[in-house]
Formats: sequence, C-alpha cells, structure tokens
Amino acid sequence: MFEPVLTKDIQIPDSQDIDYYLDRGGYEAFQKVVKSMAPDEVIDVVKASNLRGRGGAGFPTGLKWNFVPKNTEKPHYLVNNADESEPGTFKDRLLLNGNPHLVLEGTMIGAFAIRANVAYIYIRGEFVREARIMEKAIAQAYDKGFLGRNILGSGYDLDVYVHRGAGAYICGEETGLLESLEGKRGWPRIKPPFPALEGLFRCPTIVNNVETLSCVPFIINRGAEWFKSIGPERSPGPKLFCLSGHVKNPGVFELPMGTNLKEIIFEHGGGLLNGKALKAVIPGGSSVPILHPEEIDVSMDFDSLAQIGSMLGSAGIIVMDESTCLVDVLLNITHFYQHESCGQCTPCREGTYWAELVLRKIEHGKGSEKDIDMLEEMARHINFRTICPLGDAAAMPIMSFLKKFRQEFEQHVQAGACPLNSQL
Amino acid sequence: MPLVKIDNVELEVPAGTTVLEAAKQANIEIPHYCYHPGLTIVASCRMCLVRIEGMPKLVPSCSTRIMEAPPDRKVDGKYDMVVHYEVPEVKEAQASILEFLLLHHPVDCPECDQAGECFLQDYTYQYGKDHSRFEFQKRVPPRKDLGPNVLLISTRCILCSRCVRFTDEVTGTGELIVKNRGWRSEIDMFPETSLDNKLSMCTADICPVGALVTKDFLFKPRNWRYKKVRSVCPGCSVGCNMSIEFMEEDNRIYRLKPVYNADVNQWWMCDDGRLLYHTYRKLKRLEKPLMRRDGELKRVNWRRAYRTLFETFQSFKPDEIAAVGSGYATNEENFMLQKLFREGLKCPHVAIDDRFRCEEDIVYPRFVIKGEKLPNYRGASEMLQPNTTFSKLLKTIDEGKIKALYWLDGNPAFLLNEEELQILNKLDFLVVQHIARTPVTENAHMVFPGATAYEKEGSFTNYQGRVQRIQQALLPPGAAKRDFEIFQEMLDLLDIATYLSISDVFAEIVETRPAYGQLSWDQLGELGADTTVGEEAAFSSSSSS
Repeated sequence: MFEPVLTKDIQIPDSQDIDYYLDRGGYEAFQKVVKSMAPDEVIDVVKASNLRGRGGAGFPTGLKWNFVPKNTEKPHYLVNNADESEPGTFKDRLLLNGNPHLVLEGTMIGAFAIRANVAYIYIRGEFVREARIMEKAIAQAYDKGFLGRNILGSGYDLDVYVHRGAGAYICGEETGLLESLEGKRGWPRIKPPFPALEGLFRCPTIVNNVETLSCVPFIINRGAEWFKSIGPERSPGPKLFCLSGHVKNPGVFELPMGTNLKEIIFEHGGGLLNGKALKAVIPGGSSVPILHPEEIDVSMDFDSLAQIGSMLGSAGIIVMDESTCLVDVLLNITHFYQHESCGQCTPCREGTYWAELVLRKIEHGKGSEKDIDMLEEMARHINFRTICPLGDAAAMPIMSFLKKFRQEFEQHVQAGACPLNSQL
Repeated sequence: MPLVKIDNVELEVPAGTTVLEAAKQANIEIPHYCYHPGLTIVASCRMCLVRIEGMPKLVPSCSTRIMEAPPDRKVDGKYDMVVHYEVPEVKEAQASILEFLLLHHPVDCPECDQAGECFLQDYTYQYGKDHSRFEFQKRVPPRKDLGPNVLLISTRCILCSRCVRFTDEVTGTGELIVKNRGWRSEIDMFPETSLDNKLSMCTADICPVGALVTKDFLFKPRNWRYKKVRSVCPGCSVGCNMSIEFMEEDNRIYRLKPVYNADVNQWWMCDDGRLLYHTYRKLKRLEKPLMRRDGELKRVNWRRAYRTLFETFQSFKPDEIAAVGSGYATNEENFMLQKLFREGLKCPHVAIDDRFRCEEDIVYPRFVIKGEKLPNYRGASEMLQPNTTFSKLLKTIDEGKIKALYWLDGNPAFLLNEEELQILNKLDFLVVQHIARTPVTENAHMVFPGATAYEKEGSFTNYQGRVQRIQQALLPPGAAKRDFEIFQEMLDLLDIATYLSISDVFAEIVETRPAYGQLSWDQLGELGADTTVGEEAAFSSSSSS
C-alpha cells in the first residue's frame, strides 16, 4: 500500500513549525548529508533513485546536478523554482504552505550536493502567504543552526533567500527566472550555455522544482531503492497530481508515479459531476496536448504520456465534461499564453495575440473554415520556433485541440454561434 | 578547421563561427533583424532560422556556432555541420515570421524615411507574402520624441531590441528599455530621461526598420537619390569612416553615416561628427582668390595671384618668412606646403597650427570620442616636421623677426583673440589659405580659397597613427580649389615638383617619412593602414639612408 510522504502532514495546523517537523525526523537527512556524506555521494544517491524533475520536463535530477563543473572558482547557486503558475497546477503551493521545512530541507541538500553556498527560493509573486511561511521557516532553520556559517560544525556554509517574483508566468522558465533573479526583465536566455555552466550571474546554477527538491530528503533517508520501488522504474517516486475541472472531488493527490489517469479521475476524483459524460482531459497543465476520453487509460508518468503524444508536464489534470465548449477552453488557454508571452520572440509575441483573436472570432460564430486552417498553420509556425518553451506551450494546445476536436470548431463555423455556450 | 556545408557550398571556417557569418562567407545572405555583429546575440527575431542536420527543430543561424564534430558524428563522414537554407521549410518559416512582424505594421512606406534601405521592406519583397491575413484592428502605440536627435515611430518597430542593447552595451547609458510584455511591448525610456548621449543617432542606423529615425534626416529626399562616397569624418582625431550622402544637383550633403572599420570606429560615429556638415555649410565660404590692392581685398585670378605671391615672398629674406600648416589639412597638403617653403623659398620656419578646440575625451564602454577636435594633427605634425608652433611664432612676429607669413588654415571655428589679431597685423605680408571668411582673412594681403574635408581627397592620420583616405563628395564653391591643386600649381610654377595626383605626393611621403615607409597609396584602400612607430620606424629610416 502506497504511503504518502510529501503531503502526509499537510493538514495539520502545526506542520509549518520546525519543532513539529523535527519531531517527525525532519532535517535528519540534511544532518546526515552534511556530517557524513560528500557532495558527489549525494548526487550518486539521487542519480540512483531515478528522480526526474517535477517541473514539467522530467529531466533526471541527479544527472542535472552532475553537470555542475567540479573545479570552477566561481560560486555555485541552487534555485528552488517556486514560481508555479501553469493553469491547472497547484501542487507546489500546497507544499510551500503545508510543509515548508520539507521544501527547505530539500533545497539545502540540493545546495550541498552541488556545492552551493547560496540558495534562492524564487516564489511566485502572488504567493504572498507562502513567501511569508518560507521566510519564517528559513528564520527557524537559522535559529536551529541548520543555516549560516559552519553548519553543525561541518565547515559547510549555506544561506537561503526567498525571492518573490513580480507577476510573470515566464519567470517560471528557468532562464527567465535567472534573469529575473538578477533584477532584469524576465526574458529567457538562449541555450547553450545551460544554467549548470552559466546560470545566475553567469555562475554554475541548478534550478529545480519545489516538488523535485521535496523528494530528496526521503531519498536520502530511505534510500534510492525505496524511491525506485514506487511507480515505473524509469520515472519513479511519489507524485502530486492536481485534479481540477468537472470532478466530484478535486484537489491534490499524492499517488505513485504511473497511477492510471482513469483511476485518478474516477476513483480519487470520484468521477464526473452530475453524472455527465467525459469530453476531454488535459493531463499535465494547460500547455500539454489534450486527451480524448478513449486515451485516458494511461499510466501517468513521463514516458507513457509521451508515447501517446502528450506530456505529464506539471501533472495538472483538467477534466472537462460534455457541456464544455472546447473552443472556449482553447480561447481561454490561448488568452493566457498571449497575456504571459514575454514578447521577445516574434512568433510567440505576435502569434499568440493573433491566434486569440481568431479563436474569439470562431467562438463567437464569426469564423470560417479558412480561419481554422489558418489557426493550425499559425500554431505550426509558433511551435519549436522560439527561445523558450512558452511558444510551444501556446502552440501545442491549439494543434492538439484541432487534431482531436476539429469537429467542434467546424460546428461553430457552420452554426454561426457556439453550440454549447458554456463556461469551463 | 571545421568543414561546413551550406546548401551546395562547402567551406571551412574557424571553430565558433556562427552559421549566419559562415553563410555570409559563402555568399548566402540569411535575413535577420535582431542580430548585429556589434551587439550581444539574442536570437529573438527568428528571421534567420535554418535547418541543421541532426537537430530536431529549425535553429537560429545567428546564435548557432559551428564546432568540430567528433569523428563518429561527422555527417557523410566529413562535414562538421550540414546546413539547409534554400529549402521549403526554411522559406515557409521566413514568410511566417514576416507575416507576424507585419501584423501591426502600418505599411506606411510612402512616408517613411527608411524606405529604400529598410530590411522589413527588402525581406518582405524577397521572402514575404504580398498580403496580410490579419483582419483585426492594428495596434497604434504613440510616437515618442526620445531626445535631441532621435524620434521613435513606434508603429513601425519590430522589437528587435538592437537599440536597447546598443544603449546598454556600447554607450553603457541604458536610456532605452522595452516596456510592457508580449504584443504590448514597446521601446521606451524611463520617465524624465532622454536619449541624449553622443552616439544616440547610431540607434537609427542599426534600426533595421523605420522606427528610429534621426530628426536630421526626417522627410529628406529618398536615399536612392544620393550619391555616396566613402570618407573620413573631420570632427576629431578618431577618424571615423563614414559615407557622405550628397546630391550633385545642389552640391549638398544630406546625411553622414558611419561605415564599418574594425580598427577605427567599428559601426559607430558620434552625433557631433554626423551633424558637422551643418557647421561647414553655415560658414561664409571664400569663393575666389583675393589680393589687397589700394588697401582693399579684390578678386584676382589664380595665375596672377601665384605670381604676385612668389614675387613678394622673394623680396623677403628667407629667415623673415614662415609657413604654418594645419591639422585640418591632409597629409599631402601639409607635405606640399613644407616642401614649397623649405625647398622653394629656403625658408627655415615651418610651424604647426596649435590652435584648435580641445576637450576631454568622452569614453563609452565601447567607443571613445577624442577631445582633439581636428582630424589630422598627428599627420600634419609628421608631414611638416615643424620647428615651431603657431603660438610661439606669434611671439616672433610680435618681435618683428618674421615679416611674411603663409598660413594654411581650414579650421571652421575662429579661435584668435583681439591681441593675436593685432600681432598678425604687424606682418608686411600675410597670405591665408582658408575655407571661410574670418577677421584674419579680412586683414590679409592675399587670400586663397580652399576646400573642406568633404570637398577634397587625400589622407588623414588619426591619433593612433592610422592613415586613412578621405574622398571628395562636393565641389568647392565658386573658384575655390582643392588645396592640393593650389600647392600643385605653385610647386609646378616654381619648378620644384610636378605631382600629377595625390598618390604622387603620398609616394614621396613614403620615401621621406620613416613612419610611413611601409605604406603605399593603394594599400590604404578603404580601411587605411597603420604607420610604423618607435624603433621599427627608426630602423627603417637608418637602413634606407
């Protein structure tokens, strides 16, 4: 039987407090690491665990840490990316809120592993409360001697800072985040150089997601084998699934990676509201390709979803019933990416704007067949042609909606109005 | 060196060369907007996308560098990179980028100053579509008066961010920013600031479209109507390479634009130099040779003027005569002047005019504007090999030791004070070769009208010792002559030397001025060449003698 670890204590009012956390074995992993392990040993354990990044791309975390050069004179930085803003995603916020010391401990172990003496927690600007909670957690950790100079007599120094974003989705993209952290406009950088070689202030930097780093203390405490025993071997571990939309029981569910999507929706989510039929599911946050009801018998892990042409992404599962107008949904999604495009690359800056206008036209029944074709073409011209994946994130929904639900767009055109006229 | 194949062209380039630059070497011009060789690469316009074998997506050629591939990863066993440019996929991408860029563009080419030299226009003709499918309201951001010299017509902006990077990187002044986000982005400045650095007009040069325009070139005739001549700016001792854009019909300059020279000015030029033609245009030009008769300056023909000049000079003892050369005149002119006086009149006193505007250098992170506001002080000094300066000479004149003076001027500003003017009045014979009427020319005995730097050819030596050619755009006004011609005729008349062209003079400079010993006129070409300095020059002088 799977036992939740990340969210186990999340409902308890005292869970934000360091004493509560310490009583339940908190900071043991960090103490073990600082006192008895070499940084490379930590990396080896994480590598052996097959932990993959929970931010969306699923890159192996240990491998990423290994990219940090071993003999530079430059300082290294670890950044905990808490800029969670993907529509349909609300897992990191839960951890920041309910388990801040776990987030912090993961950050500290990560920093130790890459030999960073400074770590940043970059928190989405709107997460005002979470930023305060993290700041309090950090202050408590300093009080207990887990942060600062010569931590626990180990000779290791570490300072952790909370940095609040200023309200841009793009700053969740790792290089946009680094620019923002440097005090600049959040314009993503061209890669290479990758942040592991030239990141924050042109120094080796690792950017990890909140949930990714939160897994690390458990990997240290319980071992890589334990971690690998949960879910598929190639992308194992506990995973937070954010379930939203037309389900009876929405929320965050901690389940083994690879849990079947059908199971998440119908068992954990209690099925659809008001006994309506399922129309479509977005499995990994608004940017990933949409799934047809026939496709939902799928294991929720990076590789299985990639196989059917979608992505696990941030595991933000958005469930839509038969009353949903998918043109309206796509309009909503496209509006989001239009609003959040940083404006640097031409296709994303202009394309998201134009696509939204065309979609609005179709939704209002003023569109034509030509508009649908043009929309498809536009998405093709945005996809894979921008510096950062925001362009892809805007294009993928358009392409997948049109591929799988083109009929609905055609109905709008033919009827001269929205046949469903509903809101998500 | 890595071997790269771009379409059907194979070439070797140094590792680290970008695909865009390599293509340029292969005579394939990949269109681009945000890329500028003098600025950081941002790869944001996405106009230069190409297909590279082994890469999953189209990649920007401006930021993709060609590196040596390991033996097992070479394409076809030998290429380090294979680039496909003339393929439908790339052409389609280019057309789509252009369509995106033109969504909000007003297509106001008929009233845009950039028309004819606009990359949006050119690329749309070459790669774009002839119509837009955008059927919604275009965005109309306001025009902005950025500073004393530059205007932003925001509707035309394609957000390549070149101008922002320029003020960040080249001048370090950071006036320009991108404001807002996404399609609402626009170029702007912080409140209460102004784009008033000394290189501000370069932003209009690097703007690939007509968004940034200089107020100086606003609503002027179309660029294709101008003749263009490559020359060197006479504004200071940097010697920025520039293109003089002028019309023959009215013998007027309409614009000066910097031309790339890696060792001198890169792509840039200061606003002062760029606007300097106005200063020259406002001068009260001397248009004919003048000679004092019955106490009044009267027109005289050139031939008679020369004859009188020599007769008069020969009536003085050589020791009573002096010649003054100028850092506003070319090397050749200064050389001819000293030759005329040293050899023709056996005169020992050759001075250099040390009166010119001198300010502090203005130092930007990637550009220096020199405080010596004349183009050729170093060269003039090397040509004249003066034994005194004009300031010292004035004392000798005051003491009555010098009675006749030939002054080759050319300074557009008049810098003498009343006292100094009075000293010059003591001369028995004063000849001034100059471009403008000044209190000195009013009191001179003879006045020869010369030419400005825009009206003649020759060479200037900048503060670093780089010899660069200037070329003639305009005709000197009226009966005024290029200064070379004046000296040419005088030297010929005295049977000292017969120079058929400037290059003849330069050949003699090469022979007699050790620092110039390694040069030749042809070698100067468009970019100029460095004089040798220090020991090397001393060595070549001893070995040649």
